[in-house]
Amino acid sequence: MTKPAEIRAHVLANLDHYLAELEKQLTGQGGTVVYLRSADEAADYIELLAREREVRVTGGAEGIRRQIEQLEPRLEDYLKGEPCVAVESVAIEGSGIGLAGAAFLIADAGAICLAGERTGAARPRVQVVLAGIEKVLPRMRDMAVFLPLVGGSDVRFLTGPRRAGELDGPEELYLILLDGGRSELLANQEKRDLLRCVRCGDCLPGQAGGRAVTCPVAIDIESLPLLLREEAPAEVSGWKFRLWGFVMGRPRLYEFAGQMLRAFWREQWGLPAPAAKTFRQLWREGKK
Amino acid sequence: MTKRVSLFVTCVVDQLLPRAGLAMAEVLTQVGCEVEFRPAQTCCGRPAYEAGCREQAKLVGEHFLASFADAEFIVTPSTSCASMLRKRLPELSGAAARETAARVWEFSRFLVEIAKVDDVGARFEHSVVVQDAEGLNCGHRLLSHVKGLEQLPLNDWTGSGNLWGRSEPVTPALVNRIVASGASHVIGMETERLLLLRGALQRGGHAIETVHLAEVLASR
Repeated sequence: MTKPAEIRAHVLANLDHYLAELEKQLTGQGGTVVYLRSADEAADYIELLAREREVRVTGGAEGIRRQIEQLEPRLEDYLKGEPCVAVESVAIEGSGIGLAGAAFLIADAGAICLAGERTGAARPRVQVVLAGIEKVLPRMRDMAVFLPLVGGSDVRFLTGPRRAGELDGPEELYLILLDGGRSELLANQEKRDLLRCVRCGDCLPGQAGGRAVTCPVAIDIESLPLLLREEAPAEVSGWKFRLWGFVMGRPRLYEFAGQMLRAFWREQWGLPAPAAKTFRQLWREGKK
Repeated sequence: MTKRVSLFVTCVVDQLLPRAGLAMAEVLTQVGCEVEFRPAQTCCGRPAYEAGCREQAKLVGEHFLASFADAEFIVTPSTSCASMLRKRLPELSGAAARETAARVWEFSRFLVEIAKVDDVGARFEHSVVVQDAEGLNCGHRLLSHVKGLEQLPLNDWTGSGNLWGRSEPVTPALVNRIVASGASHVIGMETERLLLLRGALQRGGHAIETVHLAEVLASR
């Protein structure tokens, strides 16, 4: 079995070839493939689709743009530690048009793989799928290697609009291939390997848990994502961590902060509640 | 010779899982160590390190180094904080950190490799599943001597954990498999992961308890 890293490196070196194959196959199966530069362009395109079909869109193009960014965040943002929300499918106004983010695109089968936690998602009449151009894989059998990496309990494949005699599937299928700075990244020697990422999420803060993580597609995760996070730590975490660092360097302040947390704890935060007494309190009491 | 152990309980155990810290102290005392707790300690710096805020991670890491400068053995109940201190802190703070970092031990490794104990005389009459890929060797060795403990298999998992030797992420699928195993307790050695599991099990309304390895080893 070929290793995931080799497959991804091969795809990136031959991206134009595999995108052309994907487009040829999927178009042959009745799908529509469009290349767009940004989330803005994609939002305009989808709004036009909606208007042509007289589907009302709440929030207009701006609302669609926000949904697009949820479904297909910039790769660099993702690696910085802002994981994609586990939305697999978002419907615009009921059952008319559905938006989904692809997990993978399969060139030889002209297929789109959707993977997520959501089950029984709405099956819209018009299905629009967004995918970064890097999502393509050469063959259907590569899925055996890649599907276990991304997980998700609900996996579906789309190979085109519904054909005569088929029970379900959308009436129309659009695949929007987003560049969103990816071709630029591809040209950057230092960072191009980032495009190998299949978003398994293992290197993300919290998931990684400080463990030595082996990246399945051999991205230099010890330095690359951390480099990105360092280049631009999220605005919020910037001041958050300065405050955190200030507190953690001062044991008394740290203890006080822990007590404040207890005093103002809210169930709604959905986090495990702090224990009634800290370890250090219990330790002091035990030593008396 | 009596080993002098300084506990680094981590901020997570201090604030959220104090029982795991007390159990760890109890087991270490019981195997003949002299145990102390230094109240100057706070955190290992990992949250900032993972978020890319190296400067803050280094700052907090150096507070750790100052707090434990002369400690003989620094024992911690978290596999991930142990690896932050042993591997990452020297990258941030250089040679000075390396020397102290080498004296940091994850609890189960310390028992097996330094204290040279496999059987702590524990009894824990429950069916359990064990979570956590890292630190498992020592953990399993210790658990295999616990009387009354029945370890249930957690159905084959074909995801990335098996392929790449990592812990499986806490997903609804994992929770379902834990529930299906019929275990009454989940045992872990990574405190954050234990909390994630606890949250997921509670939200699902499952009466399965999450316990740290130390709590199992301390029970009689």
